[in-house]
Amino acid sequence: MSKSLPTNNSNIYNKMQTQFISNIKHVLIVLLVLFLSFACNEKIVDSVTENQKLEIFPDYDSIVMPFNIAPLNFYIKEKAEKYHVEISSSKGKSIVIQQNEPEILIPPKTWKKLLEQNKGELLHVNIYLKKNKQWHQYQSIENKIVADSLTPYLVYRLINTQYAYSKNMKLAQRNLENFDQSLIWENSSNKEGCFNCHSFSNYNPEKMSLHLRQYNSGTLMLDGKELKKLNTKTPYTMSPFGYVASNPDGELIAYSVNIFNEYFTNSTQNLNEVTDQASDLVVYNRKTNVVTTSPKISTKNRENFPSWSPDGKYLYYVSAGEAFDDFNSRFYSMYSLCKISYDKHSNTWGEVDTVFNALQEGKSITFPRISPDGKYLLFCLIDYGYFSINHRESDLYLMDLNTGEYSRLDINSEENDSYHSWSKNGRWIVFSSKRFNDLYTAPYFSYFDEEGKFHKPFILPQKDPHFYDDYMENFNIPEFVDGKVDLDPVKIRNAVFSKGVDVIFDNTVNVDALSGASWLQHHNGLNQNPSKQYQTTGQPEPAKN
Amino acid sequence: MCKLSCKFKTHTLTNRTMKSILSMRKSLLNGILISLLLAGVFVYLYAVIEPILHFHMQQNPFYTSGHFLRLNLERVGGMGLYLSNFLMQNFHSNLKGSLTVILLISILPLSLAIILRNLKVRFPLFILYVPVVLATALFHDYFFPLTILVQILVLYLAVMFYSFLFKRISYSIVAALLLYGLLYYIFGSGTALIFGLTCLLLNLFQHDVKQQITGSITSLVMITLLPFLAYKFFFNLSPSQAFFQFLPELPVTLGYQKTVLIYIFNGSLPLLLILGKLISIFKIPKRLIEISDHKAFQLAGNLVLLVIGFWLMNLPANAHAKNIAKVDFLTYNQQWEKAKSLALEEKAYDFLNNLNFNRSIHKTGKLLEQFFDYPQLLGIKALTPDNLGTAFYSIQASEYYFDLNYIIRSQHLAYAALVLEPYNARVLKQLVLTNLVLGNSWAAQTYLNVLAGNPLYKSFVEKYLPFVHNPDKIKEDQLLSAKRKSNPDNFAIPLHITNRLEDLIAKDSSNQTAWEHLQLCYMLDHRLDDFMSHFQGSMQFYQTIPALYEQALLVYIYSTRSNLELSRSISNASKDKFTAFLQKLKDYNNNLDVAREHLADFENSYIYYMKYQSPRVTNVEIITNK
Repeated sequence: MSKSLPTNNSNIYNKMQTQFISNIKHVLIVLLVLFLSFACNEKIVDSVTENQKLEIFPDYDSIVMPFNIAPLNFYIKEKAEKYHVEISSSKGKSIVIQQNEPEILIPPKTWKKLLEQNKGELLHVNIYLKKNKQWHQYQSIENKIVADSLTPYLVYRLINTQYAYSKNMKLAQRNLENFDQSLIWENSSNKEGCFNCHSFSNYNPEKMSLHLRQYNSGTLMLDGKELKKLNTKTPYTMSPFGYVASNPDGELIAYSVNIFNEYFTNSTQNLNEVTDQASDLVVYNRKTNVVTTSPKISTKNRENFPSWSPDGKYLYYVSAGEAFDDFNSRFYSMYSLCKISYDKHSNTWGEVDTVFNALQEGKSITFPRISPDGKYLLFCLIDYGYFSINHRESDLYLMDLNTGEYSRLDINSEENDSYHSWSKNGRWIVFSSKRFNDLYTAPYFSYFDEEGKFHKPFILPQKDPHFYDDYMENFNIPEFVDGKVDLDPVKIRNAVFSKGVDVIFDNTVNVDALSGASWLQHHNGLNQNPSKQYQTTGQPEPAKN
Repeated sequence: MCKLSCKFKTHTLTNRTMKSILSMRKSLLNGILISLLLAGVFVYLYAVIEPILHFHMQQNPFYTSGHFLRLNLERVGGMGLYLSNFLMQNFHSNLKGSLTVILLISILPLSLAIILRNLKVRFPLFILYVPVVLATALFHDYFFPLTILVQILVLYLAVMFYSFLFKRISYSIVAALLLYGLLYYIFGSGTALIFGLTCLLLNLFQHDVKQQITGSITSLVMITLLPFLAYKFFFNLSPSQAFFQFLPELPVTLGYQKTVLIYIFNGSLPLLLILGKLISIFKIPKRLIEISDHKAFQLAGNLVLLVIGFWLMNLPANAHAKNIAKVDFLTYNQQWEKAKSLALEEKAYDFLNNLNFNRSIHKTGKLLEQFFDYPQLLGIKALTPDNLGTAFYSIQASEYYFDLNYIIRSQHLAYAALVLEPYNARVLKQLVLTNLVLGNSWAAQTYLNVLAGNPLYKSFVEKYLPFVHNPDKIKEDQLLSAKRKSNPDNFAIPLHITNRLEDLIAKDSSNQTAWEHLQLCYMLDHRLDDFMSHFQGSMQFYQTIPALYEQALLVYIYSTRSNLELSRSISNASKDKFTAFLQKLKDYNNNLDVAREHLADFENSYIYYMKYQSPRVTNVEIITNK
């Protein structure tokens, strides 16, 4: 029996089919016409000129921007029936957006083309709002496009708040030329273990160091394609590696070794404070797997936050006096900036030179970062201590290393500004700032021109301009990188769960000559938070003689 | 011939009709039984369990924001949580919550019945209700995550879908792999593993050797190779997360009980299938089958199941758990009188009840009258929950410090709670309040923006958003403006609560709450010298000495043999009670153990606390899950 329908029925069905297709065609045409009529922009023939600028978020007004930045999407705070935005420069086709919504999402391809064509030119953003059926034209927003590119990737930690460990701590990377963000690591598979300070050698995404604390702790070392875990506690160092700075050639990495405590405060300016009970510096050699130090950087004082000069010959670091078993000496520590030369071939250290004397200047210095050309030093000054991220008074300063003169940057806000990093070409800096809600940090970029002037900073652009409205994570320690880091949480997890390689302590170091806390810890063991007076995390500390 | 044939036909039809009628009656009976059971469960959920308490204790977050969706999308098991948290929003009302649960659990027997029919496994009907009873019983834990029910429900549906296909080998392989992958991503490795094992069982139970082999190989690949590949190449999971994550990993503050019951519910499907197979292996006498088919047997089975269910649901632990949840709910909703009387109804001690009782009597102005009505077995720790060294009570501790007008400390603890539960609405609301008091309206706005992503918090957002837009309006709000002036001046927060309270008083000597808590701390800690040195200051708020202070004074006078002027001001009632206590003790030769049972009338007195309840004499310590 045939499964086909009878012929007469077939005709009916064919007819119906044809009719149906024809109907669909008609519907489609109508829809297309409707779509086109709606999609076509309304021509603005007549508009009222307003003598003011519109408030937009993020604030991308009067900034200097690199030609390779992702679209600066924004939203207009003023309510209107219709929004019309024209983005133009001297060359190329303008971008015109007309819509009913205040969120201006710039097409990435056109944006990229426009910026590349107009290096060194002004970018005009003309905004029209339709209110009560009348178009209003507002003052144009003008930004400068510069030919100095931004180092294309940014690596940062994402942490929600600072008061407890969580399983949601992330290390992420973001392509600054678009909106791609990917995770490098998230500690969700490793209990609540904290991880901190990531560092790259000379912006090289293939040479990274990352330290994990608590569970499966160790320092992860990426060298080319090889990722390994180092067990960095030795009998002569008081703790595993801490704060980090990679030498530009990638062979040496300086670390602090610290015993720290976190205090909670009654201050609305500084909710909690991290202080060192003791800290020293060590230098790790990737090739030999040897950790070395010197009596000059392992003293009773508290050495911390290492930073290499771009030629790799000098190690800069901050240093505060010895902490005793009293609150004030630990809490109100004043950190000075020191430098010391190091010759890796002969493994010899020079003499310590004080670059910034905290007691003289009345401020504590932290987070020293030298510009790639070696001329400038960018740092934070705070009232006391070194953990600047929780100090509202933390501001960025620039020192001319030739003259030793320094000044506060105009780009600082009333809120916290800290954790900065130079771009590879030295023309940009990125820093963490709490200026948009006085609570969570976000990365801001500022252009550093040839005359040594910083320009108005702008926040890391996001695809959704409302991104920061309800975002509850801090962008922590933003670091520029030259390309994408070829790591993901799975690769890191495999390394984290590995046994790890023990580092070797340099046997040429005269251990008895060290006077630092490491020595004390080695000889006397650890005390359990002896003062027991204040609300702390209660870490042990080296016993004192 | 024709007659005979017609007769025969008529006879056959009558039999069929009879069978059909019988079958219809049986179906009707079953339908009635199922409906009755589900109706019973609904009433039970609505009246006894009260889903709103789940919602309160768990504060399951759900927001429309992209950040919240991404947070869940990025994780294995995240979408299961997202889906169940969405459903949990119905739990804000007992009616909607009960309906949601009933809708979910009614799918369980339905899908199980279809699976069994497709497998041609013979089963007494009441077995179908086992998952219903198990699921209902689990709701007695007020931290029971709905995601477990959702994951089991989806597992049943996945197996049901597979059972339609599993005889068509190529389809079944594709379906099994796809379903496994989905279950793995949405609910985690444990659910996927149970699915894989169930598929393995289904295939092993078949007579077709070809199907047995191919199906089993597919299942074995699923339960071994796929999680291995997922672990090695796709997901950032620990080995236990990658292979055996049967139950969701939740923050310590949502610490549900991982009981045997929960694991039985998790494995109910393969367990029931194995049971079915075992039954079918043995040749059951025809008579027994007839009996099992008999409606009386079915009814008896249902009754047995109901009795077991009733027993499971009425364990004393269940009533205790409900009492704790309800007291916390009432306290949070400022129904102080109800909260304190309910806390007292529960005979077993509970730390959270202790905490909420203390807060309720403080709020009703009865702190110095009724404090020892609840046994303060943990002493000072029951007044200051952050001293426990656990994050579990962070939000309660934050609310406690908010009451004390110690806003910075309240904020610290709210942030600690936020780290554990990044979208907990109770925490977010607390952060809105603390930030508004401390003058950071930007931060308050961030949290209000988050809360605005859920219509349930609309009224809260509408209430506090004007304060963000116009911070001067805070002066008009009694609660917030009163708290602004109390932050202590000294920089670091002392470790000991008494020092903190002293700091609060130093900043604002009219902070009555701080005074009362300080004096209570001294009393609880047996530091009556310190109590006495602060006595004058603490009396600024009263015309006559509060009853509790009188009791402390009497203990002080008695123990130091001092002759205080103050003793004249102590009421006769207090003196008489104190003397009576001492006399009773004397009657039993001051033997505390012997006298104890005769001192029931004094259980709410300070002297009784000192002799019998104080951790200084009992050496009781709370064991916390850090």
